[in-house]
Amino acid sequence: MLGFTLIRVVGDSMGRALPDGSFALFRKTKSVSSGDIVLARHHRFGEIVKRVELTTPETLTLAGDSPDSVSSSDIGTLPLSAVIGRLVWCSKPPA
Amino acid sequence: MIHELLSRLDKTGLIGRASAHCDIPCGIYDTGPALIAAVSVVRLMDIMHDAKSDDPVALANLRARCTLRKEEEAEKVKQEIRVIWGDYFKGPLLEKHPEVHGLAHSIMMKASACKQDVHRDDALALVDLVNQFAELFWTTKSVKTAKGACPYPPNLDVVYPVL
Repeated sequence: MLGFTLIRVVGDSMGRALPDGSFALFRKTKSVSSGDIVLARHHRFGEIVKRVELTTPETLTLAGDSPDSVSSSDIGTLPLSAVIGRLVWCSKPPA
Repeated sequence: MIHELLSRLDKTGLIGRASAHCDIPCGIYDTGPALIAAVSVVRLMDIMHDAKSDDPVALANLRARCTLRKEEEAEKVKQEIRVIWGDYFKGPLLEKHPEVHGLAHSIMMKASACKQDVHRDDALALVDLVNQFAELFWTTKSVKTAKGACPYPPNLDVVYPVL
């Protein structure tokens, strides 16, 4: 969709930043920095929403905001090509 | 307002899903402890069968200790497998590997058989089932496995990850 992907978040690992049921719009990019929330393709978990923990020129590690999130070690190191997009907008469920 | 509009659009199935996984406590799972416990069951049965002594009390003592340990090791197999099956396998993993249910159940049954009696064939079958479970588990982590004889009695083939 013109370089953007709209998804609905399932799960609580992003805490208050992206609660379960949020709608999130991601802009297609391979340029991400630590702290960015990204949509990425994972070989085991499918499409996941996580925050970028660390980056190298070719790889990155991801982690959830919640302490209950799957750990970054379990997610593993991903190639930058796994990134689908960076969060640019979201709509959280009403409280 | 916007969220309500998107929720209506979502009902049409046009909006995809992305997971924000949670997993308590830490995502650390390994089939190694279950396999060691299963091999221990075989070893304990062997000791019980092979034990000889002129002192009947000493013999009874040895067999009693082995029986107790066999009970504990068989229970450990069940506990370790239950945790991996119940906590690690879920969602897409279960859809991809539905055979894990039957395999886990077979391990429960065989471990119980090993507690109830001292049939070596049951213990060997338990090791074989846990090996199968280990292969499946490491497959889900995209980790290759190899099979080789453990370097201690009863020298059975066990599955280990090639890291």
